[in-house]
Amino acid sequence: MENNRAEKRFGWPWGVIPAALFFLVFFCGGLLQAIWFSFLPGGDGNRRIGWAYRELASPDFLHSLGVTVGMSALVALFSGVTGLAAAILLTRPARWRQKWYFLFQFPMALPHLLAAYLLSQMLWQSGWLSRLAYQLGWIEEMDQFPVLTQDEWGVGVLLAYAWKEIPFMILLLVPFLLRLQAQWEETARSLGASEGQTLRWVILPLFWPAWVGGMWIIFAFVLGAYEIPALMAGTFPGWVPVRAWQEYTMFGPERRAVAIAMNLVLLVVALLVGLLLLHLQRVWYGRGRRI
Amino acid sequence: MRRKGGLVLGILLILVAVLLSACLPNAAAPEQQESGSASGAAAKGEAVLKLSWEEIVAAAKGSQVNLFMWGGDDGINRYIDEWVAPRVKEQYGITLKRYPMDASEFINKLLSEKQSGKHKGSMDVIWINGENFRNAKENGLLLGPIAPLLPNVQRYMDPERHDLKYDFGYPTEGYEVPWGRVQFVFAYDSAKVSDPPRTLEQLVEWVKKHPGKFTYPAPPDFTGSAFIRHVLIETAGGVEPFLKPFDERAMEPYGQAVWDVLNEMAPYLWRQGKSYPQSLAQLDQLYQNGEVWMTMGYDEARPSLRIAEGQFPPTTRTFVLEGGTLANSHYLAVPFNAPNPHGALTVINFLLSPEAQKKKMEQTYWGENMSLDLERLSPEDQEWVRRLDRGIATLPEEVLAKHRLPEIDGRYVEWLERKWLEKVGK
Repeated sequence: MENNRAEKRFGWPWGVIPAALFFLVFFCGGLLQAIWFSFLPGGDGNRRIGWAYRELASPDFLHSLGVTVGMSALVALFSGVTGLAAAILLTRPARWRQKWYFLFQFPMALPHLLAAYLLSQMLWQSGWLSRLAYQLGWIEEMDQFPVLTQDEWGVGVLLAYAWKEIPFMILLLVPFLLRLQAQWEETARSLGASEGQTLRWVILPLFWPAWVGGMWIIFAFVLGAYEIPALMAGTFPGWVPVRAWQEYTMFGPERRAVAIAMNLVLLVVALLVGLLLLHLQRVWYGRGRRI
Repeated sequence: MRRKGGLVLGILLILVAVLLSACLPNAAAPEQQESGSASGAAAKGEAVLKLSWEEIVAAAKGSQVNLFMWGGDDGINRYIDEWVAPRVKEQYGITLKRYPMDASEFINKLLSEKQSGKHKGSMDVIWINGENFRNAKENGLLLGPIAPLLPNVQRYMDPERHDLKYDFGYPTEGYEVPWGRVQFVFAYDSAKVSDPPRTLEQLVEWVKKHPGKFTYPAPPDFTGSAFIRHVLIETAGGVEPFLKPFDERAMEPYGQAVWDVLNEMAPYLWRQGKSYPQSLAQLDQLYQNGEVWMTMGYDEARPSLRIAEGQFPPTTRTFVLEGGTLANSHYLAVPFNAPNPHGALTVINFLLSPEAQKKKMEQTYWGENMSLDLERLSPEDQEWVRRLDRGIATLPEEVLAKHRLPEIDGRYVEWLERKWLEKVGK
């Protein structure tokens, strides 16, 4: 119905043309140029077409890629699950929301770089928390404080991202949940559903796609983001965005193809995961959205 | 309706295809671009090189000059903003604007501009050296030989000087002019380290005796990269093998010695060498917090400055290795597509005046050594330099001069940086 009205007012495609043009020229144009550039032969003619990709097929890079993809998925899942729990808690009794909602809006205002910086100041072995613990006599030496930044297991990265992405999830989900509650809960209740039943059979199936979509956004973002891994991750094996940046800026112009190839690999990963999720969603719709 | 939609979509696609084909060939063929770059703005830039100095200064009056430079040091930034800018305004009527940007970043920007045929850029003066200069010059990103034009270069610099002719072993041909000279030093806290190491061997020994108290920024960070070059020179027994043109095969055994030493040290470094500070700023922070006991840097006066600012402990002192430490000059240059080359040259000449160089040497702002030759200065200025107090942690000029090594070809630098990730990361 609504589509029909818009169609009558503007004629079919005119409304989307500005956005589509922008997308096609700047995104697709840039993408095509990147693909073109990454495949160009290099060196003094001794590197054939696609040399940049062949160079990436090393255990070293695959290790980096594995860590980057794995950590991105972990960050997305962690932020998704925690964010969902928090969003549900925040929307159940409405007065909680009024009290705590603003707290979660605060991290959104800070850029990732600043978030990573503040967190590393706090979590370093000679940082604020370590000093506090030392002053309070909990630890005898400052280096007894656990290694939480640039650590082997990526705890620092996870914390820094969680601090930014959980609020993002909450801000994404809360308005949606509230609308669902307003529209569907009364009905469900009046038909005799309990709190748990409402949540499981009405609310969750309706907003599942938005939740998974939100996690995919986080996944794709973390996959390509530079600041937090650069500041908070250990030096080895080196996140792909950090390595791409080094290749692009530090090792000479002929290495720029390698940097672009690295980014394209990340893009393909994000795309594949997105397509997989879309497919799963279709299957799920076909089965009647059962959870 | 649907048919119309298809038509519009088709038009859109064609439009995009046209747009793309308009910009792709440029990106695809940078070599062709170079030969045919004699169009309007570039020609205007090159024409500047034929003018007399008076004509250049006259044309620069009332213009704006954009200076693109690394912005990571507060003192250096204040030197430009608070001291240089008001004076070029007063003396030449030039508005100087400083844009903080890493050299590798603006070189990449220039490269993209060159590839897409952009003849009017945004940068007038850039601050570069080493690899960045080689990349810029090889890709035709610089205006041309500007050194012969500048009166202060002619007056105050010995034309036979090594750093006027070579930058990291690469011939400058006057495309850039030295702005300052720095030397690599190690800094330590004398309250904790009574007898600092003087050779690489002693350093390795010290590191093993004090686990966790030493580290270096991860290459390709500039400082970390300089540190591993010192390891290279120390293990090779001198800088001579690397003053020749780069040859990867000849380099392998030298490289192996470097990785052996670094891997021998690694388990005794901060975080057992599993992670390294990602920048000099992070290493400095660790040093300030007392987590490590040494830091380093490609500037002999920096530790004194940090003491004066209250960031480093006042017991900080510096040392150089017996075999010497690397010294290099950093340079100013004008890009090929500078919108205001006249103003750019005028500003560069001012920055190389004894007045500006003396102020740069004072601890107030920067504290860095001059790029002018002492013997060419007036007797009063020579006396001034001799009496200058460069801070408690700065080594005397005689000590520095005796331990000064020339920088090596940028290709060695890139090779070491790239291999480090692979060889030391394991």
